[in-house]
Amino acid sequence: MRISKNLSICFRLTVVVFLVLFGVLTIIASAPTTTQTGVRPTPSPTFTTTTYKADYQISLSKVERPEKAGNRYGPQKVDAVSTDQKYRFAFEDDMVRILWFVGSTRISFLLQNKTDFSIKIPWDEAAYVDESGRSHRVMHSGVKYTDRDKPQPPSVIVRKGSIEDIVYPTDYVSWSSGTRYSAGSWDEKPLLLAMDFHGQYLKGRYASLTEFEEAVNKNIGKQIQVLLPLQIQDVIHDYIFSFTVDKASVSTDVR
Amino acid sequence: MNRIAIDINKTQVLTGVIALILGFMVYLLRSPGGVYFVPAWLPTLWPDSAVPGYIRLVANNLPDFIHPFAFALLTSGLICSHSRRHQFLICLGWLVLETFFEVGQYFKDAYVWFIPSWFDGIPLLQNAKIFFLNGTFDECDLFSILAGIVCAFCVMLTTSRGGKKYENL
Repeated sequence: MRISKNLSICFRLTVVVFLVLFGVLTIIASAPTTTQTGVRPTPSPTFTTTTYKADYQISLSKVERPEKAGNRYGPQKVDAVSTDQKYRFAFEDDMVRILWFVGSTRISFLLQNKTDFSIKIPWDEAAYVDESGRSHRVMHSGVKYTDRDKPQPPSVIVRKGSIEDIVYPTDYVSWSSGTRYSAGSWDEKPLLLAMDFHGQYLKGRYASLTEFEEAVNKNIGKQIQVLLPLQIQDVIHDYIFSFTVDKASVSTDVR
Repeated sequence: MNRIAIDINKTQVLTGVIALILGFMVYLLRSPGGVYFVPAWLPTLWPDSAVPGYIRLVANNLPDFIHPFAFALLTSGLICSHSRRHQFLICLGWLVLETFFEVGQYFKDAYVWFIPSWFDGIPLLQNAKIFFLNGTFDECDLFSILAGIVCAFCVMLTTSRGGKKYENL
């Protein structure tokens, strides 16, 4: 009698467990194959993101060369290159001609070797000096972010040849871990304040465009520098290029 | 060999099974692009015009009525408890379970967060994420669930005295 009662309880419990599992599985199996907006339209929240953007006009204001380079490679010349309305500046002496374009996110250049010898750029000795005067190790194009702190082989520019490259501080790159819904990604910090995002769940650093503009305008007159060592015939000449923020403007982008 | 007597309430079980079949039919009559367990080609076998408009109208919320109704009756019928308290608890349990899944379609992200990644490789369970992400929360569904449970409880009240001995090994 008692065994019978126990078995009856077991049966009932099994039935309950089975039915709950079966019920849950049938609920899950009724998963819509497409989103149901067409069947039962429900108001879905619309997300708008406002981005404050800063645009800088940065000029090449000064170039410092070692005295021996000055003696050997003649006088230097700095010109503004006003093609396609971009702010580009060219430096030239008897050894190289370098066309610079400095944006708020990176510095790119085109270097032409005017000599009959190869020129090397020993990247491990190059540096970027930020607007507050702090020096940073740099990386250039082709270097994996994971290898940014490892020694970098020098770039070679053959005689009368040219190279197009960028200069970017290695410590401005950081890995941002992913979430359950998004993969991790590399974050690249801009050289100067460039953007501020505002959304429903994203509060920007600056409360208003006016505050953002004030912060951007503080960069006017500030100077950033690139130390670019150029090695020719086993002699390294340290060229220091100084860039000055001439103008800044802000804009908004709503999406 | 000892024979062990286990009660079931045939009326409740039969009503539950018929309701489940009816619920499945509702999914079949809905427009294509429906649900996972109905092949996409099946509803295309008959033209849209063959399905009366009022059926389409109720088809959206009817499954949410039928599912708790059927499962509450099946549970009650197979357990065959004549206790009003047990029947109430069965209804309450199914109400909580069904509401849990319906509300999950509103708090999609929070629910999906708790779904383990090993569900992805298992047939049927892999739809758990899709259920919450593709599903649309509808207050009418909640009312349908509540109505289904109330109806099931009423059926239990009227049929619970008809428990019959069922012999099983």
